[in-house]
Amino acid sequence: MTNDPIRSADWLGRLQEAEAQLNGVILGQARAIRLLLLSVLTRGHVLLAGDVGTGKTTLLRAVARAIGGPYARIEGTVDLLPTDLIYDAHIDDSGRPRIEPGAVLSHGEDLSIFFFNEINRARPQVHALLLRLMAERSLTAFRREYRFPHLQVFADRNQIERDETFELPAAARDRFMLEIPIPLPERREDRIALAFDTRFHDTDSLIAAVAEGLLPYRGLDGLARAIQQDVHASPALQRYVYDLCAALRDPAGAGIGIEGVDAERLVRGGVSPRGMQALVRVARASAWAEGRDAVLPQDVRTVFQPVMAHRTFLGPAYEPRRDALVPALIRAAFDKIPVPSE
Amino acid sequence: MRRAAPTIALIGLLALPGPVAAQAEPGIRAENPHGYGWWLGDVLVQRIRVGLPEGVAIDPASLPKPRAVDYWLDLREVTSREIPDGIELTLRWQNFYSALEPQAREVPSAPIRLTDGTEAHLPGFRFVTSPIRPLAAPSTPDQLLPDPVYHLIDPNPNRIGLAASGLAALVSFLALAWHQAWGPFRRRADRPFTRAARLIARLPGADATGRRRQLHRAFDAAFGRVLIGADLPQFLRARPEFQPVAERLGAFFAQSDAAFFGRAQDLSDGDVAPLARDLARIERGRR
Repeated sequence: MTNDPIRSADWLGRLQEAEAQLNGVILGQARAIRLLLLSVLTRGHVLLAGDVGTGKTTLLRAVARAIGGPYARIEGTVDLLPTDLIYDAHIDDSGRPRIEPGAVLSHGEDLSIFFFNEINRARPQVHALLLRLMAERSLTAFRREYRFPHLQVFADRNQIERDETFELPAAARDRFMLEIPIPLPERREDRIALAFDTRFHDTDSLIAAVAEGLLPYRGLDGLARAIQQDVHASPALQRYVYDLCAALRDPAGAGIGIEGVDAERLVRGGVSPRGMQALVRVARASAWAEGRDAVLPQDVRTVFQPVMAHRTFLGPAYEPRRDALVPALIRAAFDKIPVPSE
Repeated sequence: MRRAAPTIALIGLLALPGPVAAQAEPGIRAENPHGYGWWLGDVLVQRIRVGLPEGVAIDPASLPKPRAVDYWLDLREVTSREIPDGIELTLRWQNFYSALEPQAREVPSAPIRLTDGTEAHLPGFRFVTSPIRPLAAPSTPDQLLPDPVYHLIDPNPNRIGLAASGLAALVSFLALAWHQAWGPFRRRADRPFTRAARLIARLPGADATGRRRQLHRAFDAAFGRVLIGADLPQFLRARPEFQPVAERLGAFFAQSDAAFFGRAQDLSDGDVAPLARDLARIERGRR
């Protein structure tokens, strides 16, 4: 299936192994882990959304370990400059100023995961640089161009504070393939275990339980291409995806009504062609991860909200309630759009 | 002795006549009209002599005014004439009482005021007035006034209004019945599978996907929202009556997934029509 020495069946086995190991390390986040692995399979960038202390960083570090390869991380702050990502200026031992490669460059072009913590604390200039890095996987520094063929960007947003934050512009949000919510674990046993089981107190030893390089990062590009080529999307499914996206863009036209909401004015924009493309790619990866060679409606349903929610922009009257309205809209679309349709 | 002079002066002062608070009623003599024999329209002349002390007169403003005293009695005129020891007032009353039988009427007395502040009363009197003509005289139709011109009332607007109101009441009642799902408006349980089975039986034999789609729409209607293969366990929990055919449902959805989304596009009809009939039968409670 791929040109990689590892065969497709092996890849699937490795994916299931990685998923099992990650679920053993990170409790109660099975869905987030599945979605993160799908992003790895589609080489898409991910925005994580969750409260403080829900294990976003631990999860990312565990995934980074499963993929292997260099991992860089930076904290977004209001005074962070674009150059801080690229260059590290400091005084060396002999007292002279020195410029050395910064967070992004320090691991060379082999960088596999770049984690941007609290991305909305950084200024728009920093977002712009990051956007280029995400879109083109390249960067100009030290008068030459760096290419990062294996790079995958993870970012998380601070959702608590509003002060001194810079909301990501629509274009920036659209470049993230998925926005994965990291909720609190639902089960009581999981929460109790996270608090009392000493295994979870030391992150480093916890993550060490994940086998390193289970999904070798150098092979992922080839795997992603193969998945997109090999997983079938039938005309009926294409129509379903089209209908869903059309309904999300124009809920009133699709006859979708949400209580207390004027469907005509609900959605202002979103669901770009890039968004639809991302949906199809992630749905294919989902079908492949389930061991199928064709996308089914449940694949679309599984990945629709993480792919589409952050790309949907509501009318000004409804934007403050987007946390409730966007999921309601998506649910209503899935309840309404028939499949297989005429 | 020197002290006696003021005391005498004080006694002298007390002996002086004070201001006159009220004087005796002046002498009033009335010459009233005779007490009977009066008819409608008669003028009754009353003469009253008021004896007045020297220098006192009747306050002219207090004299009764010529006016309609009552509905049956006018005071037509009041004249006065000085006589040696007072004033003679002449009051001319007119009777308008149309008596049906001889009846006594009472003319009221009237207050007057003198210039020295005294109040007095001009006396009233009684008289008997009688009908003018015999009451037993027969009435003839020509004595009656003609009837006023009457207008016919057109009942049509009222009839139309009544019909419209009745219609509006009926429509309102029907709307209420519909809203409250009374009587014929009571919703019958939706039977999507029955409808689908009927439609599937009618579809031409070649249209295998059409039959599948019909059954899918029936599942959507029965589930209340779009049902995909992954929702089957949820559907069976919500509608446990379909549990006996769970395996066939699972097979149907698997075949549908293969037919619509699979690579092979297997378009065989399979179990669709019998399954739809069985589902319809379960839906109607016959199985």
